[in-house]
Amino acid sequence: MTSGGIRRSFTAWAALALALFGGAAQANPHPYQLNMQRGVSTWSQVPYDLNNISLGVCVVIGILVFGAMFIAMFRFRKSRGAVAEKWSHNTMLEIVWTTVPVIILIVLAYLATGGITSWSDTTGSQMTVKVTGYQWKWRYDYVDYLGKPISKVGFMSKLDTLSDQTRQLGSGMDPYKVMTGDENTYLLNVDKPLVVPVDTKIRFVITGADVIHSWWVPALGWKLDAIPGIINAAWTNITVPGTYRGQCAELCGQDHGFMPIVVVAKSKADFAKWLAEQEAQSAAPAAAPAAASTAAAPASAQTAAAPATAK
Amino acid sequence: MAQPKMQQAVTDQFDADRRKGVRRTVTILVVIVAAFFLVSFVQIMLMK
Amino acid sequence: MSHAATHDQHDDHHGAPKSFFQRWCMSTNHKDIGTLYLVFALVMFFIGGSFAMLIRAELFTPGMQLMQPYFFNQLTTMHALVMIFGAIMPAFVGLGNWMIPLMVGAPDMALPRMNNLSFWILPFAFTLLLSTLFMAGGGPAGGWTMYPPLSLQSDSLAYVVFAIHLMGISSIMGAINIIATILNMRAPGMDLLKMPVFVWSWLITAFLLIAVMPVLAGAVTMLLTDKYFGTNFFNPGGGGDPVLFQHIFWFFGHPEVYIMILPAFGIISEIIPTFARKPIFGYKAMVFAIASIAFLSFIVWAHHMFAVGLPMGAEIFFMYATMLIAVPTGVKVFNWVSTMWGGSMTFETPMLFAIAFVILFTIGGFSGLMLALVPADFQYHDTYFVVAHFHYVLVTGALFAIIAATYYWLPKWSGRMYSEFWGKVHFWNSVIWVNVLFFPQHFLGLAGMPRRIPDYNVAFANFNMISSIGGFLFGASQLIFLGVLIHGVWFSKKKATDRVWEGAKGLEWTVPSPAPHHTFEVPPVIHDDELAHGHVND
Repeated sequence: MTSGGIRRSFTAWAALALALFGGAAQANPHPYQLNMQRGVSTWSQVPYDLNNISLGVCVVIGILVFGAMFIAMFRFRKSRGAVAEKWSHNTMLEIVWTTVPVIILIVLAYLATGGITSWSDTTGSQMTVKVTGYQWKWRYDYVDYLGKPISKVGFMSKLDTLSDQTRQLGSGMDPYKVMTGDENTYLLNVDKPLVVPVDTKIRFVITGADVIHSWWVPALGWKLDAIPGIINAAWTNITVPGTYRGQCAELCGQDHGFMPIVVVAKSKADFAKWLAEQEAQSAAPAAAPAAASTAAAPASAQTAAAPATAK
Repeated sequence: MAQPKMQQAVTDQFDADRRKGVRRTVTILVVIVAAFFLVSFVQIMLMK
Repeated sequence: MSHAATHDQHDDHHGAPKSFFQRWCMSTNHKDIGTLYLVFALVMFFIGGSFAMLIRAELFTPGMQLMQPYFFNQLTTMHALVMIFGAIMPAFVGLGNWMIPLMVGAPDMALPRMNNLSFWILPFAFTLLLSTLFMAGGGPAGGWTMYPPLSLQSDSLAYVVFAIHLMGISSIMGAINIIATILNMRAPGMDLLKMPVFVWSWLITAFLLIAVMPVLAGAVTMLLTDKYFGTNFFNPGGGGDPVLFQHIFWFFGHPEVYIMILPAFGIISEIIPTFARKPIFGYKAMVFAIASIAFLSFIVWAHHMFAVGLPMGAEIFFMYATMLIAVPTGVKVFNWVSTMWGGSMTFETPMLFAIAFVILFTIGGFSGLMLALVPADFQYHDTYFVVAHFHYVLVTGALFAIIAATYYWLPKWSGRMYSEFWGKVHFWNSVIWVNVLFFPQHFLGLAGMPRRIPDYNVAFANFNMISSIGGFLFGASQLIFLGVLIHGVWFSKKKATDRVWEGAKGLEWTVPSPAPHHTFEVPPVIHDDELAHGHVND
């Protein structure tokens, strides 16, 4: 093999390895992506590692079992003159293949239990955001940040206009032309994203207004159902600033596929600036009430959001 | 035993036992079905 | 021979009734009713398959090309309902009807008239269900899981609920019949632990059906009263709880998925020993594994609900219980492989499908194990990874077992050999295209594509197109199956022998091919050597 060939094959393997175990560089889906992403939060490594470990375990067991099957299929063919044996029992083997899986399962269960425990611990959060699922958009209400309550920062977040026009039946528009920068954001972009700070433990309280939705940003490592009448809690602590895209993950009616989620993680300083702007904006219409309180948030949504925003 | 017997003798007793068994099995199963149907309601009521 | 064998069988003692209506609509014969079930399942398989073709056509490229999103949701919902309740379950009931009396040496099912009723309910149930597609409000579009409050928004809810009630009644009657038959109608000498594994698997499955179909009936009844009679079981506005529906539904739903796979285990456990010419490895372990899986199926339901915000303790419990299922399932797979080891194998079409079952079902089991891990499930849940998982266990699992069983027993049913060449053509096409169809869906799910969406970002385009191509060709391959069946039932010149397969053992192979209208009117004498599992010591 020439050195060029070696280099090429190395590049191919590297590309495959990147596709399989691609890290934080690829926080949003990309063509021919083969494996789960590592994510960008302090916890998102947990499902990623579990995924890789359990996949590895399955591949090894698969090679052993299927390997034995294929050997059997070649060695014990009637056409090769194989004569059937009579045995149908082997205590030793049966004990082995009952206990070995149990041991493997205990290891996996141990790892997963640790992950659940850390995920369930929403205490000590520095910020709270309320997420409400509507048919077919999301509402975000900022409840508190660094111990101080935030009032009147909340907005609806729905599919961006360009995606919405393109996705209409017979629109004649090309999904490949829905770009944000050099990234295709067809069906993965919104008019107003959720903005959060990095390196902050953010508690999300998630509920639904009409039917069940599910709030999912793969880069954060989890999804949680938004159920009317129930308030679920989860947390994240994003380590890398960036834009992270997700979608509703529970069938919620005709436009279930068209209510994406976009989370923009900013540095703490940028976030403080953004938050101050938002607070100023919501204070301004309060001076002239009739003006445009509907622009930021429809009145109905405001009422629906009221109970959880309190206290 | 050159020619094994291919069929067994069937008596009235055998037939009656069969019928009784079927009746008993069906009764028990129907009771289980009804119980599970009602339990699903009871469970919902209790958990609310 | 004794005198009293035929008390109640004064009619059509020597053959099938002549008139078409009498023979098929008024039949009380387990073989004819079994045939009806199988034909019905085949029709539903093609109807449900056509829905799947439309789904894959819409998903062929990004952008909406063919249909409105609401119609797409109707298609996914109907595809699931038709395939689960119309194709897979009736096919297994049909196989059970045909084969269980033959395998245990019974003259017929224990309750032949009820048998007729449980079949003839089904066409009406599915007419009711499918008719909603032609109504103004459209068919059900809230997914086959019918989660409220979404399902309560549908105009066709009442039709769906009544259709499900009918299917449930049919299944319950079928299950009662099967249990009553197996427990009471066995020929003397056919001990429980000499029964074929297929009969065992159906006995256990029937108990699952009896326990969970009433629960489903309860759940959908509550949906109905919530929508039309002002109750608030699941309506949060009135103090109800939508999550309770999910608990009730999955208490039914998880045993339901084993209802669709346990008889498949039974079938594979008959086919592999036949073509390996070696008794099944660990007969008792196989039966015990099926029973353990059935038991565990009742305590794992909430693994479908890891993302609803369960308490941490519940998530841990259901994760552990779910992972436990891997043990008996693994035992079954290892036993099948050990049955092949040291055998003398030939690879006729049923054996090919059985081997494909073992491999591909195991792949579905692997992804099931991955899904059981709660933190990983937070990512997998409701993505195409799940779609890939359950299609591996249901298509290459349950469906492949049904196809294998059809090739295996068709000569016994029709008295003619199907075309081995075209059977193998069907096999290779199916097994290749089904993997092209479903394997890329794992990648789509891992990359973040949610399920039940009619349109997607261009990042998912490549694998969706590959998957759709696989889907169309897999669908087309099933037309070969139809051709092989028609040829094998009516036109094949090659007569089947009574034994059909060289290594076949069991009572069903001692009757002529085709099996006469009435068999074992007098119980056969059981010779352990003739049984597939006559000498069980372990």
